[in-house]
Amino acid sequence: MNTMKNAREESVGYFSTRREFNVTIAALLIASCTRLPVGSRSSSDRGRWILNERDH
Amino acid sequence: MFVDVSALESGAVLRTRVCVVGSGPAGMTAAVTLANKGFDVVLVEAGGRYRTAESQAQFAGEVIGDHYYDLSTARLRMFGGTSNHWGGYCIPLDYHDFEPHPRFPDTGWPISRSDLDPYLEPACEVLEIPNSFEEELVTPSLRRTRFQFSPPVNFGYKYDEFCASSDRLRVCLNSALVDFKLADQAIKSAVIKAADGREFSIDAELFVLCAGAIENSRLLLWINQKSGGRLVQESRTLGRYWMEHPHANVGEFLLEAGPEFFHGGPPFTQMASFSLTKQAQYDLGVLNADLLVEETAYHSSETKGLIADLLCYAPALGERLMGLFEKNLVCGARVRSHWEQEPHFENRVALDSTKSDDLGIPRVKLYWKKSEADRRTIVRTANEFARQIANSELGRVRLVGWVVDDGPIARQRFMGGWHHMGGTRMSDTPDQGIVDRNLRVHGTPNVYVGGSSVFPSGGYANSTLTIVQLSLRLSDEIERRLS
Repeated sequence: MNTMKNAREESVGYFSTRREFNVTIAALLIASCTRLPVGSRSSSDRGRWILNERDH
Repeated sequence: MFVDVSALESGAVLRTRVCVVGSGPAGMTAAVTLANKGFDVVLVEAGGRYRTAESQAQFAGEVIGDHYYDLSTARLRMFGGTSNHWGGYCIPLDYHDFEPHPRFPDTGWPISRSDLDPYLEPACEVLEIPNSFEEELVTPSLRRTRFQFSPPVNFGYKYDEFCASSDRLRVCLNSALVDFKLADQAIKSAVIKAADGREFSIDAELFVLCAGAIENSRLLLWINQKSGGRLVQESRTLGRYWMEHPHANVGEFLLEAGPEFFHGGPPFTQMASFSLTKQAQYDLGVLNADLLVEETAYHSSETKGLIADLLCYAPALGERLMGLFEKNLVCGARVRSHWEQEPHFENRVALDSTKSDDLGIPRVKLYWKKSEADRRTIVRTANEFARQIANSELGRVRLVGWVVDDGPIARQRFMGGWHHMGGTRMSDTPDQGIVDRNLRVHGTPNVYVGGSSVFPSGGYANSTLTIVQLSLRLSDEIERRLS
């Protein structure tokens, strides 16, 4: 039973393996650290705010 | 009990009342429920107790069309099936998911949600979640309901002891279905191949195929081909109308409310889900889609950044939100969506005549492409959601470029949810689908199919809860047949 439990811990949530999970977390951390300052991203990255008529 | 398959002689015959193929949420639910009802059941699982590279390699295949996951990792060939990598999201299909959409002729089920409602509470018990999916209107066209999160239940782990101790349920691991033997029109036995290549068979009164929404089609296509079309007599739709839930990040969100607005309850046990009403979907000509608002990893500096950006576009609003931010009343979050895909005849599971797995079964070719209706669904839904949120002063959404520009869907890291559906769709007539409303293969008296391959329409709801409901309902049907 314990052996089975240990083996099952190879998979984590949505991720097939712990390695895949770790790589994804690392990628997210790197992405959050390298986020460009607001205003320097291209317009297509920035998208558009959807406002109402009272906002302007 | 677990059968020691290695001790079976080649050509051995196991006799039982019901043979279930596949030990994931669909197969395990049916097998355990039937055993608890007092029936002798044999459950066969192609994989072993643990995940192995050799077993997963049998699932390799080719995807033709849109970018998609490697098929040898998008499902799991092992005890407990794909529940071994399930995320635990639970929500029932909407009532109107069962109805034909006026703009999409191939949508709709032959049953209604009220046929599945009696199985919602027991399915929630299986998945260890509260039966709490109340819906409220946020605006006249925008609904809010909630996902409940299963621990998540791993079906192999949950029922391991039951399988080991039950004298009604026998489980054969490393035992792959490779053929059905027909006698007249009915199936007499399932031919099973063990990992070492020896074959044995299972004689049963009824057979239930629950191998997953790619393997169900693949096995039926293969066995039907070998039997000269005697297994599925009208096979026009076999493997067809395969579906996923496309996923995409669609924007960022500043809320004037606190995070409880999108948690829907305690964090990590529930999550609010926003979607358009049935009438709004019909008016916009779109299918069902949900929008999930995730605060995760989105903290004060990024929220400040969003407000600073908003100041350029709407100075008055930005200043007001900046003031609220100091009082900790504004939250920043990301908006992602997964949505219903139009059932399309050309999206299908097919056999690759040039490649076989180690058992000699042709590998799968999966044709999958998102349609213009799929693109339109997410673009229009996200735009309507953002407008509704702004007009009701709940917050403001910054949509990503391709959504506001009505452009093609940008490539996503998570392009689907491993939510495989269709291929053996449910229908009232054999020319429209493979199984009838009781999940029996049209024209074949003793073969049933379980799992999401029978879904004619997928809604946006993650499939597992509905799969368990269907298997509980199927168990009642089989009980009626055998009693």
